[in-house]
Amino acid sequence: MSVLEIVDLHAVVATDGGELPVVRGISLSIDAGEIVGLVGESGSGKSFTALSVLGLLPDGARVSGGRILVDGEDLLSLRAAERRTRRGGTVAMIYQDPMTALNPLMTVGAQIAEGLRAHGVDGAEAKKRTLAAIEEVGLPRPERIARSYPHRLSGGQRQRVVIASALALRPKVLIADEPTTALDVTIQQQILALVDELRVAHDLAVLWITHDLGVVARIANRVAVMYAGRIAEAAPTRSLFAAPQHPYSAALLASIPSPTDTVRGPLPQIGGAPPDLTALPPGCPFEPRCAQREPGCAATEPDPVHRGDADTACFVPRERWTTAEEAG
Amino acid sequence: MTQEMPPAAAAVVPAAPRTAGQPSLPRRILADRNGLIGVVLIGALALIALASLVHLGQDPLAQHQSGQLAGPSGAHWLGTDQFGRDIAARVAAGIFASLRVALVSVALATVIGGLLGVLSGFAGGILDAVVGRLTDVLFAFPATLLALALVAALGHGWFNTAVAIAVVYTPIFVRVARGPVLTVRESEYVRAGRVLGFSRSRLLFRHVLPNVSAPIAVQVALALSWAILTEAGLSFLGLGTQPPNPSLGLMVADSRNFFPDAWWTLLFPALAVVVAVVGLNLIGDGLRNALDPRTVRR
Repeated sequence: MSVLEIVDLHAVVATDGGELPVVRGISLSIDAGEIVGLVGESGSGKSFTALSVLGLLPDGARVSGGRILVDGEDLLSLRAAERRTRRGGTVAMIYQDPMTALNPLMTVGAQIAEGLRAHGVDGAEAKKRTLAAIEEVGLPRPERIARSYPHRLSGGQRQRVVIASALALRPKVLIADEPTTALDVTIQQQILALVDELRVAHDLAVLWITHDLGVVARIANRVAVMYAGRIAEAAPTRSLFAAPQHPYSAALLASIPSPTDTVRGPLPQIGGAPPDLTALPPGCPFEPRCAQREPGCAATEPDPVHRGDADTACFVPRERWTTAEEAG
Repeated sequence: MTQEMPPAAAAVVPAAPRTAGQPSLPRRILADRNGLIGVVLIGALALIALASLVHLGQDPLAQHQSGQLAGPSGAHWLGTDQFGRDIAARVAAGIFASLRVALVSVALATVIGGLLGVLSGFAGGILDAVVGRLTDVLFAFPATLLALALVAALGHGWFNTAVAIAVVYTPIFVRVARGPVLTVRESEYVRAGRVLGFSRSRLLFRHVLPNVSAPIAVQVALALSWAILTEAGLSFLGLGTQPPNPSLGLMVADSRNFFPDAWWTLLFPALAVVVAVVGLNLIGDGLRNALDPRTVRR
């Protein structure tokens, strides 16, 4: 059953020229114990989607439509104070840069305990649960770590502390905003393994935001590919990598260098740039850059259809693709 | 003794975390050469000021008819003034008066200015706009002129003087506190606190305030020295401490008529002001070095 369900979410940012649609009708659901990768280039709306779930959109931005259900409860209908108790309590988040995500003037233990106390856990209990949380993320000698200031810990250790802090409150949903980007590849692997372990242990629903398809392949059960504020394709990870149903996913996959590739020459790339959100074309937003475009594509924007294992917002089924980019 | 509005403390320094094995802040200030000299100078002045309270030496108000404008001697270590009053006792009492005004005015300015600055930086919006414009207005007046006008309006007395100086220095603390708050507010750990569902007051007092305290602390030391100068300036102009009460600024003003023949009437009160200002500035330097994580520790 879905723990997190996003239904037709719209979000806008106010600018001098009116409101800019950044998220344009996203629907996504995540089951307990499932990891969904949210992939897309910068400006595709993936971070906005995550911030909408937390209710922490920046000033000038707002959710303009849709519903966000956690365990059946619509977060958007809650009052601000109630919303705050859900933050951290039911929906937690880990971030890109563990080096700056901790207050430099507080010991690690005090910071984790503070999160617990802010949600009404009393002192002694908070201390106990802090140590348990530190132990759970695989840090040796929890008492010692708890007494340390953040600058005494390595990047990987800090990311573990951030994870411990996020999970100490036993949230149901974990939003991971590229938590491995700032880490060494070996540490990346450890963090991926750790999150996967914790997902199983706590039946977490994880939304993993990234632009690294390698990470997605490693950890996600399903993938949603975002483009220009919409989901271009959502599919089980295996199917997406085997047979992408949207030309944009196919082009993304084609641009990953393969270690076994013997062909020399430039990597395939996607020509052009993402559309200007102030002047979206009437048709498919990917149409100007698409290798598979057909005459009708520029006229109307495609709605998602079920094709193969995937939901894809494309008019052109895979069978009609010209071979150039089908390789994916 | 007029002065321009002093600039706000130059560099914004992040607070250095204290860690095991590292000496405490007071120790680090004393380990800094400037800080040590400053602490010694101000410590000496503070002792002298305290001594004046218990009348260890002479009564600063007692007039000795026999010895007017007498030079330093065994009976009057620093000589006497035109009314035959003991200059040593009057300087000591003057130091006490100066320090009292400086401490109270800077305490007021720090609490009010610091709080307004942190709040406006953290909240932004209308509060920030209103506080910003008010500080602009206060900044538009020359410091001494504004203090003069305020004392004239409030009336004499050490507390009114302190309030006037506090009003003049409050905008500086608003700015010094607001700037770093803007940076810290956007830091990942404050965002992380939001994500964890922390209330705004918890974020403000537990996470933002401690991380902007270093520049404010340095500003306190510097503002104390300016406050001493301003108080002396006001007294010099006759708007601070009123005669016959002893005050360093007033003593310097009185000495103008006598100092070619009686240098001690000018030298000692002026020296006390200089030592206080230099000492507090050195403490400010020491504090900045001690709080600056880039300082190499020996």
